[in-house]
Amino acid sequence: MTALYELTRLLTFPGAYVRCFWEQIVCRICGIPVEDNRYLRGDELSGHIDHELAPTASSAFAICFVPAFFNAIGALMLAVLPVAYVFVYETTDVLLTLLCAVSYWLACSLYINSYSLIEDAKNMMVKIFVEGNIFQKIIYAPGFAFLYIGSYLERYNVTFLSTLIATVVLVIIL
Amino acid sequence: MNEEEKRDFNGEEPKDDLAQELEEIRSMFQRELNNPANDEADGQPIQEIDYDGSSEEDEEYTACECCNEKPVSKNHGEDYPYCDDCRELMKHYPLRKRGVVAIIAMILIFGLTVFYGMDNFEKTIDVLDAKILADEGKALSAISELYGYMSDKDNDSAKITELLVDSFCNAGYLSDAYQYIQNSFTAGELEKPSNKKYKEIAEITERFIATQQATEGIVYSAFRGADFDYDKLVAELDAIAESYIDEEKGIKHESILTDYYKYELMKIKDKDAKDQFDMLRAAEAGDETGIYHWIYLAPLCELSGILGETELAEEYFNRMMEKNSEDMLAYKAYANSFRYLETPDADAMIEICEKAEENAYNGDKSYYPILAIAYLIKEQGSLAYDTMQQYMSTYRYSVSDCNLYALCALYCGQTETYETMKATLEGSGYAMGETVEMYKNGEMSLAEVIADKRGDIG
Repeated sequence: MTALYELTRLLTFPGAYVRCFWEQIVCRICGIPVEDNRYLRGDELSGHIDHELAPTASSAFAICFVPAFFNAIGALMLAVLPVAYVFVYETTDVLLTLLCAVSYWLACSLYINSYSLIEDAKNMMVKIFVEGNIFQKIIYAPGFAFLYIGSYLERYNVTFLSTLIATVVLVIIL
Repeated sequence: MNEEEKRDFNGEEPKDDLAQELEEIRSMFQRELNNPANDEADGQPIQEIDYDGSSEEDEEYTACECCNEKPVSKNHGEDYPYCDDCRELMKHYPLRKRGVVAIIAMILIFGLTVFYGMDNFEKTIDVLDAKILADEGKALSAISELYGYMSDKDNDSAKITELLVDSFCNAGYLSDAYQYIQNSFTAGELEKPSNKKYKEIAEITERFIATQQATEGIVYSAFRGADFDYDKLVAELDAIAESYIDEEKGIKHESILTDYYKYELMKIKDKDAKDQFDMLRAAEAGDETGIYHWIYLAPLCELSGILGETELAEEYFNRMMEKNSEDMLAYKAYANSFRYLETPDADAMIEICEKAEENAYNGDKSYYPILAIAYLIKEQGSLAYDTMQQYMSTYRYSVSDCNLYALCALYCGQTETYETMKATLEGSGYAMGETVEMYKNGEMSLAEVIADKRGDIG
């Protein structure tokens, strides 16, 4: 599974770069030391930067949420036009088809690289639900559930598999 | 004098250079000891100096993994591998350019797609609208949407072609589908596997047109009302069904069309409804692709009602709705299935007409004749008359419409309208329907005329 995980990071390297970039920016803002900022590597940290665990609930949440949020927004923006032009309109224009193919690949790469490492998600759980106060628990709970489940499933390449399924479904229904 | 000689007998060193140096060292240690800042460094107790000069810290000393010089910081856990200075630097680890490059590249690709595909956006919305209409079974509206689009813009969408051809087929406009395929694809393009479906439709339509041309001469006069020898015509139709359009290629005439014509002849000759039903079922069974649904579904629906099989009629009606919910013939056939019941259900017919009104394409009112019949069944003559009057003033009417209008007029005592309709029919080479004339002469009741299956009215 790790080999597949690493392979998907390589296939979707633009999304991995962007995710790492957001992650590092959050680390900078929150003052979290970064130990290794290689974006792609040959282990399970591929597509993530090696940083210390976030010390507070807000920084722990931010390090999971911000990259996921921006990658998801980017993926949505990049996917809309290819879906419209290729799946709905079924354009026969070669250049537009090519642009749409690249755009769709970038959208998929952003989506596939949206979730954080499970370690960060676990740290977020500790900071919010063990060390956090009642307000933090209430505010962060909905986002936490989404991010934690996503990070947990991401270990099994769920985003990659769901992207493949979504593409097939789009082809069938549109 | 050597060093030994400098010692006095008490063993004390003379106050020379060495003594001075030792004194300086002692003073320095004393200063350091007196300095309170050195009492506790970072909360750590001062290490006790052993007699041999080494300390405990020296034994556990671990260099920072980053700078490899300073000792690791213990403030961040026992196994923390970095010193405080390096940790501070790590908080400002430089951002990598490739992240920024990736973001810029994505923005560029997005911008290019938006810019280059700008014209396609509006088209895509049109196609989506047409697709929604087609999925809802509104084939006529979908055709209209796509045709409006086609007249303005070039078609560079495979989806438009597919939607248009599918909608033509669902609406039963085979010739239009064929024409569109001929205009859109070259012979070579039709040979491509991706265009297999269009090639098949084109071939079916060619067979259909050829069969239509071959049978036209046989059934034309019979359908125009002339007397005919039923067995002779059926035999001729059977012979055509068995003959080849292209013997070399083994292409035969369409038996579905000949079966349908046989049904029409049976209907004119008022043959048993079950036989008519079986004939159409044979046509249905012969339609492997389902492309001829518009030929047999409506009469099968009507005949199901005549045979008292209302559930089957509903099933056929639903099948027609799936294909084209704007098909007024479907509503007419389903309403007729209630008309021909032993006790006609006028309320059900009116309900079906309301549904037809809901789904009618472009305000189509061609269900009005069946609504007028429902009113006649309910003995609401004036409503029936008004409905037909409205219909006749707006739409191109058929022979049966004229008969129905004349019947309504007779029922309401409007003999002038009856005479006008009779004159209209005669002017076009037709005669007033036999059942209407019989009603006029008092030989048939209104209920009998309505229940008559020869199709004089409606």
